[in-house]
Amino acid sequence: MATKPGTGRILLKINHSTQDPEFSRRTWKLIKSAIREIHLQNASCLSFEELYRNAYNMVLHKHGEILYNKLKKMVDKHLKVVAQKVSSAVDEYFLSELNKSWIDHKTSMLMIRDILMYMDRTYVEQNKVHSVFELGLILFRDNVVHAPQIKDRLLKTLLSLVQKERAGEVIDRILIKNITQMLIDLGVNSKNVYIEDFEKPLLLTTASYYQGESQAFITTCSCPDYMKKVEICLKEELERVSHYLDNSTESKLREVCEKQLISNHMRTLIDMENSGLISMLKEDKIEDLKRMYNLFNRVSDGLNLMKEVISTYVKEIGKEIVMDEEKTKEQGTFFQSLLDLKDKYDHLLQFAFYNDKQFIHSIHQAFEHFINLNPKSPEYISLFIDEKLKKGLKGVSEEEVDIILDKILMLFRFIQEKDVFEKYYKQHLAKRLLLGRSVSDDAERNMISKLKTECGYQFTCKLEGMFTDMRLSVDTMTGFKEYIQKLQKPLPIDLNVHVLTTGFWPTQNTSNCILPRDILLCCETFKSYYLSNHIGRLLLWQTNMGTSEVKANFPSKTHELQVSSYQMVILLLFNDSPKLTFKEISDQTGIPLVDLKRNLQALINPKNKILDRESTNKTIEDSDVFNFNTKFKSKLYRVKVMAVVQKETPVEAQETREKVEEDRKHQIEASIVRIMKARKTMDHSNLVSEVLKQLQSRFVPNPIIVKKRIESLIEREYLERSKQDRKIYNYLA
Amino acid sequence: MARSKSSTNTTTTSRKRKNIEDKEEPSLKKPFTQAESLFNNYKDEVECIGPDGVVNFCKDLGFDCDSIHILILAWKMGASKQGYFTKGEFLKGFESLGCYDLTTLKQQLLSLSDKLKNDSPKFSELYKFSFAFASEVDSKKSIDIQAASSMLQLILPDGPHTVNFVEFLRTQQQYKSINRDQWLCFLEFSKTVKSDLSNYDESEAWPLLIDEFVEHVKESSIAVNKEFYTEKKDDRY
Repeated sequence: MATKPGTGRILLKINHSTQDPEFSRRTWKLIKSAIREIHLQNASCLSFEELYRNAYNMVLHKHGEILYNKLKKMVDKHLKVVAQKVSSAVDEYFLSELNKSWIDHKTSMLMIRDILMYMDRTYVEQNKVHSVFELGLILFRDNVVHAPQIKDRLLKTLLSLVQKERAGEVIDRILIKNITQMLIDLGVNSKNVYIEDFEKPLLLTTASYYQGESQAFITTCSCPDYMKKVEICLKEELERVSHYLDNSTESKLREVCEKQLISNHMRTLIDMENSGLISMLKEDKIEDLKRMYNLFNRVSDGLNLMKEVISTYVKEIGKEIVMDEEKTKEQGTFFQSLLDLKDKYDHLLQFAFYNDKQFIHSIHQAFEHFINLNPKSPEYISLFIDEKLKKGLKGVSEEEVDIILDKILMLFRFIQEKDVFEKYYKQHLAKRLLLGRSVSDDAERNMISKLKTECGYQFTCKLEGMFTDMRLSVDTMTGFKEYIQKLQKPLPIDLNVHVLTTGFWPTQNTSNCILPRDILLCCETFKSYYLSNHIGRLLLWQTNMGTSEVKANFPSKTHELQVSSYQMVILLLFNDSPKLTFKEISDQTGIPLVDLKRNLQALINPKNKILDRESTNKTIEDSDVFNFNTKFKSKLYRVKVMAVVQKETPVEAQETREKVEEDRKHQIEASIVRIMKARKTMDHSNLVSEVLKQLQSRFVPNPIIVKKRIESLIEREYLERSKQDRKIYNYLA
Repeated sequence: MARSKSSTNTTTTSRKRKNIEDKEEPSLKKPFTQAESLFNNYKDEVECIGPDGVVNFCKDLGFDCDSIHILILAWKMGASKQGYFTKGEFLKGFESLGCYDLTTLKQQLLSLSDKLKNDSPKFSELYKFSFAFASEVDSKKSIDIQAASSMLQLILPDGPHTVNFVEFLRTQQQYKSINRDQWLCFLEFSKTVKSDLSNYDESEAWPLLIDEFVEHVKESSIAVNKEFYTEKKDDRY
């Protein structure tokens, strides 16, 4: 405005002239006619400068209120006419008409605002009323959009358009976008108009629409088809948001759709016969499972439900395998099917479930559950490894061996009774080593080192000791051979001895059999050689574990028989007498009865009938008479007499079990003492849980047994009950 | 209470006792002449009252050999073995009870047994003593089921679990003897656990023997209930 010092006087002068009551009426008249022109879209003929000045003067001369109210009244009146016009439009043009009048109104209001800018700056601010443009919005909202003949019609039209699009028709998205934008603008500074007039009803109709739709889908579609449809629906709804709805609607709309399409039908979907979750698992439908995972992931509890069903199912399947008598007889297939199952679920986890930690955990739990249902699982794992290491890994590359062993180890991890496994593994390893059955030393060592990383040094130190014994035995034998050569007194037979450390090997204290004189001589020679090098040691012969090669002269041909040491002892008896009863054999060899019967069975086996028995009973009786079978024939020069497969008898299984139980007692006590030594005092339940924690890498002890051990330690005065509280134990040093 | 024992065993213990006593004799000799003469009335071996003497002594005192009073007396004497009182033990008992003849002794014992009923710590001591007293093993670490049962009936006749527990001990096969820990815990069990077992908590570190006893009682009470129920049913038809 004026910056010259003299302007004050001019202002005063104007002030005087404006006290004329006619002034405001006259000025308004001018402005009014200009606004009318604007409404008629004839603004080009107006002089903005002049109008602005007039409005400025009016406000300056305290006629702001008059100006504001008159403007309000005028726009109000104009909009009533507009509403009339909009509502009279036919359905097809209703929205476009509305849109057009909205655009016109906006343009007009912008112009009016420009004219009345001074009022906006002063009067509006001082009186805290709506600015001119906002006033325009409010008036438009009240007079047009909320006009009774328009409001409902607008909503209905919009909803029906959305509905049409859902049904596949093409609609004018831009028009709708404009209208929704209008609704948002009309909220002035909030989205209330949009939310109340449009969003809420939209969500309601959406919910009811998809409720009906999903009901229809679910009765007609299979589970995968349903899920595909849901995916499409969700995608379309999202597109809808991006095309003509406000962004804030997205999450609400998605939630409504997900609830109707997924949450409400989860159970039905999972349980759907022939196409539900279970059958998808059965048929490895990775894509469908992935789809289900993705969909269920959207809603709360969806994955939990899925996880539970999968875990129960895996438990069931696993239980079938584990408890299947037929399969368990064939350890190979038993384990192979478990490995297959594991593979299958690893695959699913990776490709369908994005390696979801919770899923992995629950599936692993399921495996742990069913593997431990069968108390023989540890034995079977060991047998499976045995088989693999004996022949299964022939001609397989190192990496592949590694993969197979890793897989076995995965299952091994689920075993709770790892100490039972160790017992059997030791037995099987001993056989492999002593009979030279192992295919590859590297694979053996690989397995041991894997077990070591898995269970710690303690678990494998004895197994490693077995390997050391084998290596040392080779050295000992070289030394022994040199010793023999120096002696200049060749031995009647070629003797090869493995010196095994007691405690490392699953040796049994079996009574020794009576060895033939020649062999005894050899043994004594070795013994004196060995003991001269290692003073203070005690050698015990484990004749039940040895093998022998025997040259046998049959009338037809000479054969070399590969037999066990026991069988060799039996066969040598027939050098002196052609006929022997079972009783006589037993007396002359001193072999324990169970072993004797086993070995005789192998010798009279029709396949390699080296001995002949004058009885055809299935079992061997005391009175049975055996002959040397002179009619024996074989194409091969070397004949291998297979030992009758030594399946663990129930008695032996019982013995192994008892041994394990006995070992556990010591381990539990050791663990209790270790803990108490560190803590000095501890209460019962903490002690028990600490013991369980310490031992869980080997086995899971029954708390009752732990309690029993505690009591035993109290009795032996390693612990005492606290005098104040029976539940607390003190360590007695 | 009186039990006969092989004579070799007896002599060794009495001899041992005698040795200890010899050392103490000079200081004890004078004040206890009355008690000493009483002792001499009953002693049947050197410096020791044997089973027969104990029976006579109890008879003269007017108590049953198998009574709580004699147990208390043994406790006060610090007797190490059932059926035997050595001279030292005998004299020590008289001293600690402040008695010199049978009548005062009897009165003392009667009042003491009344007092013990309300004196829990003292009773616990007696209970603890009773284990070692009943034990026939040299190490005093266990008592066989038989001895434990009779001792329990003697010392805890009114215990809420005594009848059931003794019955349980009689029928079970697993345990041949009871150790100190089990013995002591049973007293606490009797003190704290209600007769209907309603406040029994198996996580409270009771010895397994007691867990099993509770199990047994619960099972048999279910069985009884069932029987009762079927009987009722039978009545109806």
